[in-house]
Amino acid sequence: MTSSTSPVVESALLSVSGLAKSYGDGASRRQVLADVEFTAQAGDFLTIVGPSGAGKTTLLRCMSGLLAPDAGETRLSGAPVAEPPADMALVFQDYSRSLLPWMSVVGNVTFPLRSRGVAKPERRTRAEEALAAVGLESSARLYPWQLSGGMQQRVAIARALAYGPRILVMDEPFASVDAQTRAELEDLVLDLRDRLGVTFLLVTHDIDEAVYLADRVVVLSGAPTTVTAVVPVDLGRKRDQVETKARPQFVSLRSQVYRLIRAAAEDKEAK
Amino acid sequence: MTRMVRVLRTLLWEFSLPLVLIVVWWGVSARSGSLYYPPLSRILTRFRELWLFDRFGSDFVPSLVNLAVGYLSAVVVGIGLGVAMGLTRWLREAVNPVVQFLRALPAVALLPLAIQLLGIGWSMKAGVIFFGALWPILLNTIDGVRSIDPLVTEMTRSYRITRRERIRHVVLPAAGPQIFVGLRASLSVAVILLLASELVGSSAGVGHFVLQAQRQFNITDMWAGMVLLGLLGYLLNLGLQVIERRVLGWHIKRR
Repeated sequence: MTSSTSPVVESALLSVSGLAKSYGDGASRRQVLADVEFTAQAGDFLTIVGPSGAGKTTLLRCMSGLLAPDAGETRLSGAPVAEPPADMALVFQDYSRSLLPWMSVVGNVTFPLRSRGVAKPERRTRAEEALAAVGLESSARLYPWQLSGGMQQRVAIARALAYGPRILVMDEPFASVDAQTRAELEDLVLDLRDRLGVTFLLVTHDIDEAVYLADRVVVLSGAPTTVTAVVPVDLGRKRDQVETKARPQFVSLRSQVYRLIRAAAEDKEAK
Repeated sequence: MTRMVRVLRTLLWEFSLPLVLIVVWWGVSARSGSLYYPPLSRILTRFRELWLFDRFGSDFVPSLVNLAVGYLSAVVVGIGLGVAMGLTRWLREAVNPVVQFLRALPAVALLPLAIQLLGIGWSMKAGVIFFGALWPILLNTIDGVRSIDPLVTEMTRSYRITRRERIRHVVLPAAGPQIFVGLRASLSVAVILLLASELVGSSAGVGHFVLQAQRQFNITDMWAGMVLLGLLGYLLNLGLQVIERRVLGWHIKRR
């Protein structure tokens, strides 16, 4: 899948082009990303799926400026990403480690704003709004470790929202919560996208989740990773855990993505 | 109410064995005619006469000042240098050999040199205390800073946390539990060195007083001095525990 550099790319909020990354040297050198390309428009909900070991996390770290790629680049609002950009907020899979246990919930949410030089009254308002958006306004004074896993991940999402990013990047954010909580959180992020108009990029290994959340699903091949296909998801804006997942269109999209991933995995084994 | 009961119970456990020991000591020593083991009642009387507050200002306060100056400067330098070394690889690698050599030197062995260089005044004592108390704090701080979760570091990077904010609100709290391990170890070292420095060269201080009393066969005074030293060590430790509870409340409650 090669996309020519068209005007669409120019106007994209996020564009990833020719991203490549290897680890190690000499004989132990292992190429993780080969040539990853995709774009996200403002307001998009993009999900990224791929077989396990596809270097999803490496891709995300390269994209977010945490790791320097060997080749290629990521542009956010047209500017190349060399270090973590101010317009991007990350939500990590492991909420219990990414939240600071010595700060209260509201302390965690406002912490990044202090470095941004946001004045105290505004920090407070932003935190209140963000916590209300994830339904945690009553837990502001508690500590993260006093909350359940799902609530902790809500705190992490609130922290990302309060940061005021144009794009929210999530690395398997719901992989370590139970199924019920996971469904709730999925609906929460869809709702946030609708209400706040933030662009979402969510990495997952769960095909159901990828299709359920996305406007477009970016399917990765196995390492060395390239983009196998970008599957548009025409399920409309309103999604419902029971109803949407029962629709024939959902089932066929799900199968399509599944086949692409399986083909990618077999391809890799054949090599 | 239940909180009160809990506090009372804790206090009861804390003080019951010491009380029993004191009562036994009191009873056994009551009729003692031995020059070396005077009755506890006499020791306590002397304790009151000496330290409340006849020699309090002349002997106890100087000891306390030396201890405070030596220990607190070790705290500041140990944590400051420890954070810098924990965060900066080249600094750690450059300084580490020297640190490993110096910390292997028993601080007591430095006393002759310290007296040579600094005389027998407060600067020698504070200096020796500083030197001995520095290492546990420094090494534990380096260790604590280095063991910070890499994910936390990624989080601070992705949110563009400034260096100052990161040190104050992430590095220090994260390394806090380990730093306090060092602070506690250093405190006992500091008290030991306080005494050692006052025994070898001094004209004042509790250590000097105890030695003088022993030489002049004022055995009761010597005991009274030792009781004071015991109390000092106990209270210092208690103080540090109170500070730890306030600073690391999140850590203690989470366990």
